[in-house]
Amino acid sequence: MKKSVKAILISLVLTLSLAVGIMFAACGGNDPVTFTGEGSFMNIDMNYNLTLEEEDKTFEFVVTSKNEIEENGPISQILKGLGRTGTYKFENDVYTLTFSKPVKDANNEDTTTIASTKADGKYTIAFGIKGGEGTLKISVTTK
Amino acid sequence: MKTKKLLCKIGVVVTGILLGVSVTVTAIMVENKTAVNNFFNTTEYKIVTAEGDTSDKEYFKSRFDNIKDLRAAGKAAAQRVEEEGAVLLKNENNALPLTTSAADKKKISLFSISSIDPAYGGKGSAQSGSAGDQVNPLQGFEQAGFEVNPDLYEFYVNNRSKYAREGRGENALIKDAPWDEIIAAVPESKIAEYGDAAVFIVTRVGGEGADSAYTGTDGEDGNYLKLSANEKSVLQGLARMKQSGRVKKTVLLLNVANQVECKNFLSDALDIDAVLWIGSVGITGFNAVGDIIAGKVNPSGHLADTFWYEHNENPAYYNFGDNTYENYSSFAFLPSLNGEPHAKYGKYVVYQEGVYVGYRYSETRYYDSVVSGGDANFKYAEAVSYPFGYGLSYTEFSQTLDSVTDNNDGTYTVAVTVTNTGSVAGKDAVQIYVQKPYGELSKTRKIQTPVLELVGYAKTKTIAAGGSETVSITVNRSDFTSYDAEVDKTYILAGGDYRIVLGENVHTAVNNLLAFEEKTGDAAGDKTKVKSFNLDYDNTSYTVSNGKTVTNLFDDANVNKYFQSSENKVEYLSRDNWAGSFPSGGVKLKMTEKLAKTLIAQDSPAELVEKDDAEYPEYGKIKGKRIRLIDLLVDENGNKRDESYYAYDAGIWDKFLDQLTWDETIELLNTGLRCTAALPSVMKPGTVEHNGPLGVTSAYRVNPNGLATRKGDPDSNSIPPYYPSVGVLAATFNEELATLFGDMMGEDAIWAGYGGLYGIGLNIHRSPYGGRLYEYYSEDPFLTGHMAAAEVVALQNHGCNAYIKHFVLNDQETNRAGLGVWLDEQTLREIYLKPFYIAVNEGGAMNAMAAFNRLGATHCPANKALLTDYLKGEAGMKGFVVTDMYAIGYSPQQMPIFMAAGCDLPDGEIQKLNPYQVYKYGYGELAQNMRDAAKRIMYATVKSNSMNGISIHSQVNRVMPAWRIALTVLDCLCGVLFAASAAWAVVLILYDKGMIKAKRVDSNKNQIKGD
Repeated sequence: MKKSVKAILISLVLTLSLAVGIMFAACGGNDPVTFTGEGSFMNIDMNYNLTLEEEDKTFEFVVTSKNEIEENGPISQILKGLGRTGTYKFENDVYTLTFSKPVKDANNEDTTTIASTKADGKYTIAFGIKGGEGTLKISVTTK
Repeated sequence: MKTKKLLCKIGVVVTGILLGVSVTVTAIMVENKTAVNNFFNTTEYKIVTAEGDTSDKEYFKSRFDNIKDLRAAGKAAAQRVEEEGAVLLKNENNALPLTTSAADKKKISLFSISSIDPAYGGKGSAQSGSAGDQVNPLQGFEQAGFEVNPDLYEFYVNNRSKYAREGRGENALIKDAPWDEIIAAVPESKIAEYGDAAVFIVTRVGGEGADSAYTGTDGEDGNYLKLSANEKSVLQGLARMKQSGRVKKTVLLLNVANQVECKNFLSDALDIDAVLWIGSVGITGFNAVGDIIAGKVNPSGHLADTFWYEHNENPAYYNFGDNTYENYSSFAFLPSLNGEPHAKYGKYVVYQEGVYVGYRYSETRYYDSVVSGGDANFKYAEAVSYPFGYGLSYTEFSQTLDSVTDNNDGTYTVAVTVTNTGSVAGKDAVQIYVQKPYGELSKTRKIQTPVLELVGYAKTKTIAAGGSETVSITVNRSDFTSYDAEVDKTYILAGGDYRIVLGENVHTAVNNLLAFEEKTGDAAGDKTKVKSFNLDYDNTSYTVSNGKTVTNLFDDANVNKYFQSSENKVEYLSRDNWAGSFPSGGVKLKMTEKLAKTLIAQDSPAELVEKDDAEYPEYGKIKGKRIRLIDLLVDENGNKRDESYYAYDAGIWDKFLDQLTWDETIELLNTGLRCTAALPSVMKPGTVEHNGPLGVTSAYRVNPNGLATRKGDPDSNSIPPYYPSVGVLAATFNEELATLFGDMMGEDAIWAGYGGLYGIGLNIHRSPYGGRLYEYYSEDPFLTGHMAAAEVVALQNHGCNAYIKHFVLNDQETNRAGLGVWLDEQTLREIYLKPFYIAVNEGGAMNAMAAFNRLGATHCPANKALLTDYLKGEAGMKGFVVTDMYAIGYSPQQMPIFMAAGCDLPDGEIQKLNPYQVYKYGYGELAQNMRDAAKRIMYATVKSNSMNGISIHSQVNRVMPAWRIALTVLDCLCGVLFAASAAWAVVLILYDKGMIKAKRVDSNKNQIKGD
């Protein structure tokens, strides 16, 4: 009897574990790949965050201030203006980002695609955003 | 020591206050430096000419050698306009002319306070200047040969302040001297002695910021456009004297730009013999008036507006002035002011009358009433006293419609012979109207169709008695189109019979049309003055304008389409149902959530300027030699280039604009207030613009870079002539005079250094009560547009850019800042946009001013359909759009919203609060608009007389104007005094605390005493 109970309990635990595993597999997914960087512009110290979503192969580049800023204030507006979106692919150990609107490449030419480089096991993506004060150079790296 | 301490304390406090005040004043004045510069007539830049540079730098030349000659010509021009624009409305028994001569000098009495203080112009931005040598009525009549009652004149002079007009709008008081007080000072016997004629001058003054009021004034029933009790008492007194034979004639001069209410003014009981409408007269208009009364000039003006018998017969009467959205307070997020709905958000007006403005209503309803056999609710004689186009002469004319020739190029040539059948020489106006078919297509598509519309006009030369002249008028078929907002959503020609109709005024034209149709109106018509032809339905020929597809842009301004709700629904005035659709009161609109949110959203750029990631333009890109603005105008040898080199679409502009930095761009775009900024890096001079369409009202020395100052003319301190209200100009029906008007103002602009004029006013005389009617031409868009186009061409030939205004629908002043104007698209296009279209498309008007009011829910400067799609698109305007006075209507953060919509510049300075700074990255579309705005400003500058005085060897340098230098010196002085006081205080404190000791030079003589 005890063995039966034990077997049932073990089965239940295994079943539950399997169910939980399936649920995670179904509802969760891989962690997004994140690139980070820092910069300064118009006396604003900024954090760059590039998030690559594995699920739908999209990315979002977001800039935040290192300091506390007024919500929807002028600096918030400026940082919002630096944000970018697009899609990406990962092939042959290279991330290739396709921006929804052109950015600048290393030669300051307009492009919509930027490829990553790799060094010391870290990926780096560098691009430029054209604006009122010329091209703002941005570089983000994986951890 | 105590005294020293006290003095020290006072010193610190006083110098501290002085420093604080000085620094604050400096900050405020620098913040508003454009306004201060305007006030002091200073600039922040200087054109430096290279030594020995003798090249011709006058790209727009004056034909005058000096200001004296220029002013004399301007005054003569103003007089000519008044001579041909004054309209003789009534002349019982040929009361006029009142011929006078040295042998038989007529003695007259001038009545009303206006005999010493008439209206030369109006109030507000076009306020008449204090030229000092304006001709007053006394001078005007005396130079015409009359002897004027001196006692009466003296009576008014001695009581000037007592009887002077006061106030504006509902606070306006007409006042004037009552009959009893006049005859107490000037006995009737004296009036009888000067009784060849009693001339009574009625004046009403219009102006910016207030309309003429229906109620609240001392006009009868409180109405400003009726006689005051005092005025009436004088006219009644004169009627009595006339009945007893002591006054021979009573002449009424209507010194009013608006239409007065005729039932009140011209009642038989007042026994007035002659009425001359003279508008506001400008600097020399009373010379013209005197000459007309004396018969030295034969009047030839014809009304540019309908003169209503009673104003409530005008359908626009019921939807004018102040209306507040019901239910406003239910939306807590909408601002209030003193517990009431904020006027900027809560006010509206509905143009319920649609296209039926002025004669388009009165004559159409009259025609329909005759054709239908009667209209119980409409009697023409009780609606209209003097129709559009009406005007008497001292002679008689006959007009014959000789021919209408299809030129097979979309135009017709209409030949009319005018014969002077009377006994004196004179001029006549020829008016050509069109009747468009009004059939099933128009009815089912709700295309409103006035019975007649003006499509051509001309003024004859002076025709001698018995002589004749044949005039040829070109009529465009495009003026026969209607805008179909429902089905084709573009301009169409309805298929059917079109009739070209000649008439001495619009009402006789309708009677001629009725005669052609074998019907009889209130007077016999002449069917030979009508030519008929058939045109097919055409919905394709008028669908593209300046390369842009013409289709509906303004559905959102139509109440019925915007709200789509039974509670906010309007029945526009319709020919199908005159009685049922005639306004019975003001349209009531309710505030809705959609509207409330739309109104508020326009205050916040975050709501309307969306991040777009579009490509930014180049900034600060200089390849090779820098291109300066002068390099576009003049080649390397100093020769003026062909205009194609710097045409709006020329490739050179890209290179030129690439050079500008972001900071330079926003400096340019943040600096307005009747000027544009100087940019020394590309040698762009600052431009200075004049405010107001009726003449330059600042002294000629106003701009240091103007010809008057550069030439050192001895009359630089004098003020240019001021011109009659443009309604008078319109009433001339003479485009040669519109050209002269623009030409003389352009000349004045060259001498004063004005590169532009905040005018010409192209709003419509929708209601006689409009405050700024004196700045606008007419109730008719065709006449308005074409007179304006002629004026614009002449003005801009002198490098003075027109800023046509107020784009659009600023047809009333009440609640103008934020007023929601609602109307259907056919009406908007055919009546209110049309003058602007003509002025741009045919006159080449360079720039425009966006109106304070909203088009529906959207601020005019925030309306992309209006500015980008229509004005810069369909109409093809190449210059820029400036807001109306920025500080009154808007906040700095709204400017990017306006920029995104196609409004390029604030009429104000928002440099310190630079709203563009946050759009440096991520707003490429806005940045491209900013570049386009910069291009338009540069283009307008290079085409202006602001380039005068600059050669390829010149420099445009920034300079600190004298007031800024003075303030800086004052700040420094106050700072030094405060520092000295503070240092003294520190010394005393340290001494007091024993930390320092005084040096004893002589222990006996210079002993410092302790406390």
